[in-house]
Amino acid sequence: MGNLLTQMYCELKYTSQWALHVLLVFLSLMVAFGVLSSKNPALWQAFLPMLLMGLSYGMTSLSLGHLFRDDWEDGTLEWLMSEGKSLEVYGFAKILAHWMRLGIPLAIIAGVVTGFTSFPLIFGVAITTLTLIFLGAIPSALCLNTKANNSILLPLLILPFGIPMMVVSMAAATDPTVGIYSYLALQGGLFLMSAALSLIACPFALRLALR
Amino acid sequence: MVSHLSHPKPLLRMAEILLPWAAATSFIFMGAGLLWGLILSPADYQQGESVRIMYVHVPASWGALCVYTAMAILSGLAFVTRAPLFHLMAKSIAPIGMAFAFISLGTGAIWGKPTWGTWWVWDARLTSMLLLFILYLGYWMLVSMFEEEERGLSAGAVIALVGWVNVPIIKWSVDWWYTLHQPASVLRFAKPAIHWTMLMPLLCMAMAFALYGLVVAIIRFRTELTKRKVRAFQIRDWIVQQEKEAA
Repeated sequence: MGNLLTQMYCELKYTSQWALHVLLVFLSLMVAFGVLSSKNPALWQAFLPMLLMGLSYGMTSLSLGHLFRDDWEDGTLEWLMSEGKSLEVYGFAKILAHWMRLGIPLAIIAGVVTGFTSFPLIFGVAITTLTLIFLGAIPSALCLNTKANNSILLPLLILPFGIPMMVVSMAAATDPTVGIYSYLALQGGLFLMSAALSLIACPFALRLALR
Repeated sequence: MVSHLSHPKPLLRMAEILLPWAAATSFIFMGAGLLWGLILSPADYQQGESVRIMYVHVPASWGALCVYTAMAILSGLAFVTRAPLFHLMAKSIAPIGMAFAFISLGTGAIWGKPTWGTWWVWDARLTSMLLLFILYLGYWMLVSMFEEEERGLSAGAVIALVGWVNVPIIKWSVDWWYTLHQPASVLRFAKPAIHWTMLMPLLCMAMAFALYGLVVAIIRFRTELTKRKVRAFQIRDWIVQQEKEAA
């Protein structure tokens, strides 16, 4: 546990500013959509949950190229491996730190944009990004050894895995007829499943890349 | 059995024996199925003649699902037994499944136009087939993006396995999200909802597709092995030449 926290602290303190760039792109897109729909506020209201969910998906899958890439390039990963450190803890810390820098701000922006009126939407953005990062960590680790820096490939690989969670979160945010607890159960189930899958597959993929 | 399968020699011998028979049977089934399906079987009372697209559409969809399952099983075997041949097999069948998925999507669009009045809807089954196609595409792109082929193969195997765990979840989630497609009419627990005059040619075509897939898989696998053999010979020649120059 202490190991995990240390790793996360280092991660949050010492890595580059790309998360800020991704958030700025997200904000600029939201402003653009806001301006474009300003003649028809009903359009904005109708599309807002979809925009927030879709854009958080896009931003998350674009950012996942950075998840292990920097550590891979400067040799940190190789050092961890040669020191016999646990790649499981490393991967877990990386994923959580990534979510704290990207997923939580996205959820807060979603809250600000909707005026903190829709809890399912804010929660949906948060847990969807976390699930996406868990699942996307696997292809992100697998792509480390590819010829060029292939961040184009990542969204394609993540898309099929991300769809179920997005669909459930979208339904939770837009469908008022079903109780909130059934959606929470579905989201929680999908999240736990992807976390379990990722905590097995992601260190395995990292070891494959380092072999 | 598994260790027996992981050596190229007996495998190739088996493939040599199997290939002409599989090809001939596939050809016969294809001819019979097409004749039966396109001419002898009745038109649907609601959909008319356009229902005959089913005889290509449904076997292709089944094929796409089966090939992905086979890929996942082969990838799992490759990690368990550490025999690289299984990776090669998975790689050789991937484009077949991708082609099946593509045929399924294409014929589905052609069938959808007269039946539903649109080429494409974001219906559950259509979406899940599209996602399956994207899974194939991702696997294929990932495998081909490595300088060392072995690394690409094992990376692809991880994606195939993880994707396989996800396929039922994708299927369930999109089903639950939205559905317009007719429900499955052959594979269900009650009696099939399809009349036998349509079922028989359909099964005939499914057999033909399965055997066709097997034939292409054998040919592709043989080619992959030959490529490796050629490379091994090239490396040996290079070493011999280096030794000569050194002497």
